[in-house]
Amino acid sequence: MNFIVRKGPFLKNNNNISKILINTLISLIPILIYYFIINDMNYIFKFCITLTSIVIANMSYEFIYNKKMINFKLLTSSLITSIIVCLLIPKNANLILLFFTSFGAIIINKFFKNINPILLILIFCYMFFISDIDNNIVFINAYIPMFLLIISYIYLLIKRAIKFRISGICIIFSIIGYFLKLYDINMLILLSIIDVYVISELLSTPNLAISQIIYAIVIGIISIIIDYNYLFMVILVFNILNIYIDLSFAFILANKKKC
Amino acid sequence: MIRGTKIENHKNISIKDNIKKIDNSDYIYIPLKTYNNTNCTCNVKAGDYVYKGQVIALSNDKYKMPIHSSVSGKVSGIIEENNSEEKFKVVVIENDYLEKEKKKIGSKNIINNYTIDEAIKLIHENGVVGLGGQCFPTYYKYNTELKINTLIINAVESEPFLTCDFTLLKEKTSEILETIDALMEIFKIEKCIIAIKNYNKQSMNNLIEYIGSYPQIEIKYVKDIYPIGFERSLIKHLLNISYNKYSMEKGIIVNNISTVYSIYKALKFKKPTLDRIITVSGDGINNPQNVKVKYGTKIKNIIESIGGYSSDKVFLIIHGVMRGNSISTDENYITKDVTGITVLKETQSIQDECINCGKCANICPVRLSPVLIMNNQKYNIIINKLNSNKCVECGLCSYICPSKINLKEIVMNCKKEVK
Repeated sequence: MNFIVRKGPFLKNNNNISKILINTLISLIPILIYYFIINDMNYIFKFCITLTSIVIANMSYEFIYNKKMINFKLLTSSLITSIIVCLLIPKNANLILLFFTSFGAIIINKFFKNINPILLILIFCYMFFISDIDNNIVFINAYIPMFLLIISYIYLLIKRAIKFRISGICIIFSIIGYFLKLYDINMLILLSIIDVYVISELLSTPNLAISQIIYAIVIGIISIIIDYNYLFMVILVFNILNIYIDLSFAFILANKKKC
Repeated sequence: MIRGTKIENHKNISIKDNIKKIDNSDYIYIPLKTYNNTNCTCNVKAGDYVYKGQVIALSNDKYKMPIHSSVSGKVSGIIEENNSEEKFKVVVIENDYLEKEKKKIGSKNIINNYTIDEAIKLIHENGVVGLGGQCFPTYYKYNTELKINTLIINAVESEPFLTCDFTLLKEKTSEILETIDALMEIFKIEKCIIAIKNYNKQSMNNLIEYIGSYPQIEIKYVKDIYPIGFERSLIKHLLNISYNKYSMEKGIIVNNISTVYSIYKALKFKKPTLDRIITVSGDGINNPQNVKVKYGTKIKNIIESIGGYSSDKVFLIIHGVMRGNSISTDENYITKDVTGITVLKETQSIQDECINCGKCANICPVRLSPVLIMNNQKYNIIINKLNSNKCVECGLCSYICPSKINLKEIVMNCKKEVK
């Protein structure tokens, strides 16, 4: 008999990274279909370029540094990144610049795990192509995408593929901003995409429930008072600070328990 | 709110058959260690004849717990064993299968009329310890000057696969209720709650039938979430009370079903418990079932008696699949802390990089942050501040992790570092 020695537990939850990635991808399908319907071929072309650049960047890195060929997880995560970027980049973004930016962002992310590559791509795009809302997509019958986004959020929540507290709180703030007439419905949709897919990205956000709530409230408030072009920069700063926010709250909670 | 999650319990596979009594060990191995791995002073030497139930050692700690021989026979030797953590001695007894006892003591018809001191003495002398896995001396819980208001009988059995307490409750319902009634009367306890998971209607019917005669005993069904059977979680869930070191501080005593049955034997027959029901389950054996075995029986004998292994490469797990570890040999033996043996076929789980999802931090029943402990494991000051020593080793962090990282192992290593 061969007895394998290992530390427990021996039962594992059936959730895994691949499932999280697939669920995120599925949640993007409705809004993506809507985008394809309302946009022209130029948008689809831009989508393909973004997708290719991100996949190539990932593949090159994995091949050069880890001697790994492309795999399912890599492809899915590249797809998700590129779809989200395509949903948010200004219409006048230069394709060549987009290609190199995507490449650079992926490489930076390999070294700094807590920096969301989507944010880096968006920051570069918005730095070079300062966009006002006219440069972005104007939504036809704008309540449909908003409805689709809320459905996606609920789907991710049920599938436990999202830090739901962060997205939920930020969506509430975005809706409050819309009702306070701080921006229009197009802006609300863009902010909601950011709330569901960028602000709550797993790797770059806090872990503890309390720090997630504080983070979401702060970002939520900032997102409705700051100019959209600078929002990504603020989130990036928080990405870097999140590890310290988490540790600080963990210490506070641990001290409270000791008392 | 109690943190935890529903885990597939795999309990039905071991409750199909009746309890099988296994008594085929030519040699019995009694380790000379008790609660918290305290070493003991041995009263016997090689060549001595020992009777069934004879005290062969006494623990060296303040509890002075006796260790009994589970069979009669000759002491064939005292060997020294090493496990990864400590060295201890093991008394090896050659079983003569005669079941000789030094003196025959009759049974007591009514066990309710002991005085507190008499009851504590019997529980102590007969070596009754917590049989849920911790082996904490039971007499110590009752030997308190604090007023005990509530007795909780823990029949929850959180660990997947294990059904030994459930089976015992089903088979010995009247004895267990009689003991609870006696404990309540002797120690003037006002309230008793039997906490149970409602996963098998049959056992409930049996219990409900008998409980009518004991109006002071209440059955409470608890949520089917892991780790609700842990003492702290159970008290919090049932009474919404937290405590610092011992539950007695708040006037609560928690006893496991098997422990109550041991108390029954101590009070009724003035005899120590020398055997117990354990669950032998999992997809790595041919006939999963509950078995009654003597302490000191080798695992190998047990598995062979119920049809052997179903695979050549298995995990042999003691103490449950969530809390336990797999061992390298089936030459190990049954001790009081073993509630079950689970044999699982080999499975591969590929570990990924942490995706920082925070699920471990949001599920931990003692509100630790395993991901932060893992990220800072090199820094002793930080892991100390993160209370890693409070880990209850339930294994939920590793269970929930989508990256399949064994966070429990990491936290336990850190716990050792900061001790």
